[in-house]
This record gives sequence, C-alpha cells and structure tokens, in this order.
Amino acid sequence: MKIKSILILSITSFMLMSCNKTNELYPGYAYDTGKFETNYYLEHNNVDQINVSKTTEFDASKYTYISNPTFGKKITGLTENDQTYTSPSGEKKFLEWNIDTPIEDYGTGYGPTENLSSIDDSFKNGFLSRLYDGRVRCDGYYAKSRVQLNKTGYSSFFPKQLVDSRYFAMALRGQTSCEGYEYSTAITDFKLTLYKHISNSNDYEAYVVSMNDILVPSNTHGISSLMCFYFVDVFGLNYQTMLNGVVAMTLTFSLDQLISSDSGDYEKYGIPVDDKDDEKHPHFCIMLYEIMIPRSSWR
Amino acid sequence: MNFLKKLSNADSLVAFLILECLAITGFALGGINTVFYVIGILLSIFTVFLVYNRFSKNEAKSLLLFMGLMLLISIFISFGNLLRNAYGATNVLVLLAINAFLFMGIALRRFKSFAPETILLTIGSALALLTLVSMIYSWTQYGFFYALQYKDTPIYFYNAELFNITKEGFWLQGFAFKETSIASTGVFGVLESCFLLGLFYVSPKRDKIKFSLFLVIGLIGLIYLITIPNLIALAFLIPVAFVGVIYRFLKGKKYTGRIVFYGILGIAVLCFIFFIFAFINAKGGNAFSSFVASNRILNRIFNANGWMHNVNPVLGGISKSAGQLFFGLDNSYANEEIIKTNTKMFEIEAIKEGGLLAFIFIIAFIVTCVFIIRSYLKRSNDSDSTKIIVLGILVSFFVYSTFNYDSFPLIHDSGNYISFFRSPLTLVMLALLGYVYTPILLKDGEEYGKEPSLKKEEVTKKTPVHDYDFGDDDL
Repeated sequence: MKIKSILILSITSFMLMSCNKTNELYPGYAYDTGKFETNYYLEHNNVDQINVSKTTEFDASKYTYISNPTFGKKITGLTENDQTYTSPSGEKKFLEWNIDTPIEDYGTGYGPTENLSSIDDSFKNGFLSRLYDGRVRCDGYYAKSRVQLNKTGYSSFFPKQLVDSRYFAMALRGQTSCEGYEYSTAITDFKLTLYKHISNSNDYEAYVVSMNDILVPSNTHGISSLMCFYFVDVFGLNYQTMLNGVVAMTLTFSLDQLISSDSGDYEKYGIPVDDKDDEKHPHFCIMLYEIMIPRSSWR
Repeated sequence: MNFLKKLSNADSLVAFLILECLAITGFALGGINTVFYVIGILLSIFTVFLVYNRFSKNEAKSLLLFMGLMLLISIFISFGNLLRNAYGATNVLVLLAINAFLFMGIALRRFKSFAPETILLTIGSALALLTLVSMIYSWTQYGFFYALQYKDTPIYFYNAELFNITKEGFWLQGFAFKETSIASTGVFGVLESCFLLGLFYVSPKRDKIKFSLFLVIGLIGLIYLITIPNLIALAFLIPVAFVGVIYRFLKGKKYTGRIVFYGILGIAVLCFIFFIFAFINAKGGNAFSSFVASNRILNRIFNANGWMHNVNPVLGGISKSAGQLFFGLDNSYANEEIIKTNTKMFEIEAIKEGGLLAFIFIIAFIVTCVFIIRSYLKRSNDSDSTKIIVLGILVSFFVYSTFNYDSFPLIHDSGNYISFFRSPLTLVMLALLGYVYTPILLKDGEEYGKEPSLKKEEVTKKTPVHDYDFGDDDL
C-alpha cells in the first residue's frame, strides 16, 4: 500500500511538467543566414487568432520621426531627458545612438540601456529576444541581431502585460535582394497594432497606429535608424489608461517607392517589391533590429 | 603538549566534520567555493595536529612525494597567469584548499573512526541528492529523452543568442537552477553509476541496507544519464564496467594486475610522448611541423582532427613567450579566442592556467596515483565493494575529465571559465584520492597505518573487522 502511494504520488508530480524549455524550438541554424529571402520571419504566434471586439485607428504619421544621428548627436524626435541616463548616484550620461555595447551593465549606448531585456528578464526568452536585447544594428552579428520581415509582418505576445510607457521606438533599415540601391531611401507605410486585453472577458481592444510615408534608409550595410513616436502625441492625454493592459503587437508594412541615391539602372537590377511570393522581381524587406518601449513597466 | 594530547581524543569528531565538509562540498551548496576552501583548510589544520606523529619514516617519505607533487601543481594552478588577477587573494585559499582536501582524505583513513563504506556513502549520497534534485527539475522543464526527442529541432534562443537544447539541462547551482552543459553534469551520473559495481560484492539478503543504498545511488546516476539521454557520458560507463569486470572476475589471476598496471602506465607514457611531439608541432616554424604538414597521416593525427584542433592553439599560445610557457596564458585580449576554446581535457586546461610545468606535474601525479591505487588494492583491508567503487569513481572521474571536461559549463553565462582544480567536485575527488593513498615506499610486509606511538593491541582494536579474505591479490 505504502509503495503504491509513493508510486502514485511520484507519477502525479510529473503532471507539474511544463516543458517550458521546449516550447519554441527550431532546426539547426534557423534564421542564421544573411540571405533574407530564405529567412523571413513570418510568424504571428496566434495573435491573429485572438478575438478583437473593438478597433480604434490612429494616424501617427506626423508624430513619427526617423533618424540615424552621427556620433554625439541627438536622436531626432526624442526629448533630451529620454536620451540621458541618470545613474543611481545622480550622474547623468548622454546615451549615444552609435554605441552598441551588448548587454553587460547598462553601457552608455542608447540601445543597451533602453532595451526591454534590461527592464524585465522575461524578454530574454525566445527567438524574438533579439528584438529586445539592445543590439540596434548588425555590428558584426549580422543576421543574428535582426528579424527579417515581409509585408505581412509579424505578431507576438509580450511576455508580460504593459502597465505604462511614454514612447515607442524601433531600430530598422530596408534591404533589397538585388544590387543597385546602395544607401537608398524606401518610402514605406507602417501599421503597428497594439492589443489590449479587456478584463473579465476573452476579448481584446486593438489600437491600430498608421505611420505613412516614412523615409527608411535602405541598403545601409548594417547601419540602422531609430523610428519613434510619443504615445501622448498619438493617443492623447489619456494614453496611460489606454496602454495599461497591452499584451501583444502586430507590425506590417508596405513599400510605396524605393529611391536610389544614384541614377540607378532599374532595367538592369529590377524594381524590388515587398511581396515574398513575387517571383518576377527582386525582394525588399524590412530588417528589424529592435522593438523598444523604453522606461516602461510590466506586470 | 596538553593541547595535542587532548586533540588525540578528537579523532571521531574531526573525522565526522571532514565527512560533513565533503558532503557539503560534494553538494556544491551555493557554489560558494571560497567557503568550502576555508572550511577545508581549517579542518585540515586541526587534522595535521592530530596525525602528524602517526606516520613512520617510510610513510612520511612517501607522503612527502605525493603531497609534494600536489603542492607543485597547486602553486601553478593558483598563481598561474590566467586566473591570478581575476581571483586575487583567493588564490592563496585555492593553493591551501587543494592540498587541504587531499590531506583530509589521507587523515580520514588514518582516523579509522568511520567504516570505509560510510565515507563512500556520505560522498555518494551528497552527489546523488544533487543529481536527483536537478534531474527532477530538468524533467519538468525539458521532459524525458529530450536530447533524442528534439534532435531535429534542437535550437532555441535566449537573450538573442542561439543555444542547443540537446547539450544542456538544468542543474542546481547553489540556490538556483541554471542551464548547465550536460558534458559537465554527466560526470555526476557516471560517478554515481560506479556504486552499482559494489553490488557484485554485497549480498542483498545479508546486507540489505548497504545493498539498497548502493543501488539507489547508482540508479540515480544511471537514470539521470538515460533520461536525457547523455550518450557520451553513458559511453564512459564502458571503461567503468571494464574495470568492474576485470576486478570481479580476473582479480587474483596470475599477471592480470601486472598487465593492467603496466598497460595503464604504457598508455600514460605514450600519451606523454605524443604530447611532446604535439607541442613541437603546435609551436610551428620547425622541421617537425613542416614534416607533419607534408605527411597526410601525421597531419590528420596532429592537426586535422577535433581534439588537436582545439589543443593546438593552446600549445601554440603558451610557446609565444617564456612567461606563458611556464606560468600559463596571459589573460589578455590577444589570447581571448584561445581561452574561450573548450579543449575538453583538464590537463590541457591546466596548461592554459598554469603552463607547461603544471601539465608535467599533473602527469607525474597521475602516474604516482596509478602506483598508489595499485598499492591500495594490494595492501588495504577495505572490503572488495569499497575498493571496486573507489577504483571505479577515480578511474571514471579522471578518464571523463581527460576527454569530456567542460570549462564553460554555464550555458547562458558562457564567459564564466570554471577551473578544474578549483571546482568543488575535484576537491571531493582529491579527498577520495587522499583516502586511497597508500604509501608506495613501504618495505615488504610493512603495514600502512600502523601507528608508531600505539601498542599493537590498540591498533588491532581500532581496525574495523572485515568479512573478506583478500589473499595474495595480484591487483
């Protein structure tokens, strides 16, 4: 009887098994090659399955800034305070966009200081952790630091629920699969959807933020730009209440036009399109390095 | 002198404390190595007072040789270039602790306060408990047989880095479970599995408790390895089983012991000669390295294989300057890639840390250990079950560490170099080696452990009685 009880107890204890570590596995060297056409991240991680009962649309085009400042210069669109780090001792440091020292301590780079992994360890799990790690450009890591997007974009649940935040930012660049567009500009429309869970229900409220005609530097050899907007500008003064409870996001885009910095022999190279299924044209993708909701809090 | 007399009555207490120390160190509680170092050093200081006058002249000479070699190794390991600055004053503790644990093992056998099986079971239980706790947690996070189940999709991402799930498992590191390489934790499974060898000699009917304990410890180790499955670690059970079979079935046969003994010695000598040539080749720019490069077979042996591919940079690195040759690699940016290279061999890692002399002393120490283990098997009154388990543990530990030692075991903190001689498990194994220590310079018929200051009757009273008749074992 005693042995039976022990056996039953032992077996029951394995019902606690969560297999956390095996939730998200990939074949060897997944997403690890530089050829983006073979490595698009197309996942929507069940966010596309959730029940949206209310959708509110916002146009953030005139509040959205994109820049790639040179060493020592300010990031366009950010306040001075948001590009300054104040240490516990009160010392203030300018957060340099071009310093990309990964992770250890806070560094003095904007990316490694303001990244989501620094705010909460739960952002370190999974493939998309590369969007939260603070590496805002290739910087020798090549494909390992970015997520390569087609126009269908990607979606994901955040590991926790957003409580409050002030601004949204992402580090990105454009890239073509063909030559002839060195340091070109991609005029692109972005659509960011934030999903807020409606308490005591299975429903979600969606805030769809459109950012149209954004001039995205493309084929910049690993150099990315920071695109950002303040929630208060887009959502209004009630933005904290709206953000409280956001659990997921979707990002999609469409390429309007690609302007080459030189004359560009389009006949020779072709005109890139944002559709991965188009076999006639070369491809255009958004290389996303970082999703940032700096100085936010999560529960 | 009164103080020393009083201390002589403290054998049992100190032996008990040593066992406690070994158990806690074996469990690696908190990974707080410095605390283990200090406890070990303090205990061994007491121990020195207790046993310093209990060695005969020949025993003392033999002990000097044994401890002297370890002292030399510990000097190079503690103050080698690689870790000298990183650990600062702790290096003094490392130097003392390595010798202290070895000496505690030696003293434990002299005290005779505990039966040899008790000592083994204490160490084994600590290791098994650590494995059991880690194994259950790993099951909940990875499931069973995950190394096989996910072999086609083994990759996961953490903090933007790519990791292979089949090469890791959770392991209790102090008060937190951490993703740890199964190469580094596999050794626990192998060591515990050695307890199964003892079952050859223990009757399940007459000695139920001892049989059950050996079985439980052994099974925990074996189940841990199988439920991953850690195939490489399981392969290391083959030499263990080989040792067990030889000891069980060929013990006492004429020449068996000698063949095994000289076989091991021969392999050690061949490895050493091979290493000398490997070193000359890795140094480069000489006639031998050019000859190796031009010869297909030699090139494959010395350059184009997995092992030497990792070893050659280390050998080449230390040959860049006299300082690095004799005291190990400088912890500099120029050596960063070499330091990060996991050679999987603790002897080569010792070269990184302490240079060529550390390596030579380690080889000399290993050869001495072969003599000592032989002497232990011949002269010790321990039961066969104890001997076979101790033999299995020591052989598997050093063989495993020679071919599968992982100097970067913490998967998500891949920059953390773990020194072989500074790790708690090595300290416990050194204590076990100390326990096995049986002088090799004794005259024929001279008994180890016969205390000069005691009368023969008193010694007889203190010696545990064993059921087995050992005869003239050749092993």
